Amino acid sequence: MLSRRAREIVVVAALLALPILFLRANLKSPTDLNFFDRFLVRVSAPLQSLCGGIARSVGGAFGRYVHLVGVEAQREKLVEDNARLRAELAEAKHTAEREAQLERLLGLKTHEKVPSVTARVIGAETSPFFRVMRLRVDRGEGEVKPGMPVVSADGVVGRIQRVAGSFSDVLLAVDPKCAIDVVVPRTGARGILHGVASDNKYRARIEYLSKKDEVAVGDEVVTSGIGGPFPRDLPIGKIVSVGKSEVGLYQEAELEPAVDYGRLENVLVLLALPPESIAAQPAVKK
Amino acid sequence: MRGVVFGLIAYGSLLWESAWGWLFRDVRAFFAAPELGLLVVVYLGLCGRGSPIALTATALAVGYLRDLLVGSPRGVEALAFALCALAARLLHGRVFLDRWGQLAIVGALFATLHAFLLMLLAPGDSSMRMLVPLVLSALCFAPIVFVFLRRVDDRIAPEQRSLHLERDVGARWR
Repeated sequence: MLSRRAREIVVVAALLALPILFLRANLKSPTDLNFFDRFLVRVSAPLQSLCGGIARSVGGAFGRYVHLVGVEAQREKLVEDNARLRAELAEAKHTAEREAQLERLLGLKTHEKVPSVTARVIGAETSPFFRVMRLRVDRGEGEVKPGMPVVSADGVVGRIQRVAGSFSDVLLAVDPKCAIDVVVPRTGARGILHGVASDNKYRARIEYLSKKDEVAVGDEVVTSGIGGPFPRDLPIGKIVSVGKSEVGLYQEAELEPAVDYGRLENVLVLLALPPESIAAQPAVKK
Repeated sequence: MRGVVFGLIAYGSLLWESAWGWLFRDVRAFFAAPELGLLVVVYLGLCGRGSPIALTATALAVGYLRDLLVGSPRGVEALAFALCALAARLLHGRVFLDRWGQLAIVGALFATLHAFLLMLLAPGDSSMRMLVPLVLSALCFAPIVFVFLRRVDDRIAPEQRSLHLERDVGARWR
């Protein structure tokens, strides 16, 4: 007969084995949620949304008060920027028209419009270990699938990780586990974007940039549209530092994201699956 | 009754963690969201009340909820919370907890332990710099959370010491 102490140790060890089993199941299929998980997410997400709403109002009111400082100087700068941007816009429109004409002449296929659904951010990411945000899809429940890209007006946000009804988790582009094929439009240099594990600042780095390719601080980076669900030319951010080592074939560049993840409120989920997911889906008989 | 109250507190804490980013968005770069759920299970461990089985089960449940709310791989936070709670239980009666500074240090130690466990259980690109905002946040919030929980404990179970510390007899850190 086991003593009470020994019995406790055995039961505690058995309990500790449970999360290991969950972890194993999660490694096999990270996007699948069972019935119990979906129920918990569906119950918690509205409460999470409520807490987020209250915090957003309080934080927003405080932020608005703080941001009034220096508003006059900011206004003058914005007027100057506006004049410059108007001139640039006129030039860009002209260039776009010319490019469209050339594409028509060459018979190139123009960009396909990807269908999308809007979603509201209801849970900000909290852990520097897991850069994940929770969304509530306004309409089109059931259309959102794991792997689909999420974008905002400023650029790439991330990709859908898990779905539970109208609630979805987004793995942010600044998470080390996220990988996106990117290009520097100025020089055509290509690389793979990964998030940087750091303190709470959002940073990412471009790996596998060939040393022969020229990249400089301030260069804009966009999606290449290759090997993933992201359409091409979506803004990712700007390069803030370039690291070249003496050895090796590649250089690395650190990037500041175009999206301010801390202030995101509404996003778009592009209803486009990565190529490997499409290939994995069962073929439909005609 | 005590279990239900602390379970609800832990659940509410986890919900508030995700709202933190919007509350202090201007300082969030230097100051992580306080891990309130972790502090609740650490408090339960430090109290030394109840059986280790109940403590482990509670920590697993709170950790699993955090897995679902934070978006981490399911089981990672559950295991990390359970191990932290058991470590806190081992410290029961072995550490001084009669001043706010001591509570802050204990909170920071458990935030560090939790971070190391996450690095171990969910290996990936991680850096020691990730610890700084977490530890800062724990230093500030642990004493407040522990004192609050102690008061709740006194109210719902006044006949027992809620945080019995052998070297702390007579100390009043409330």
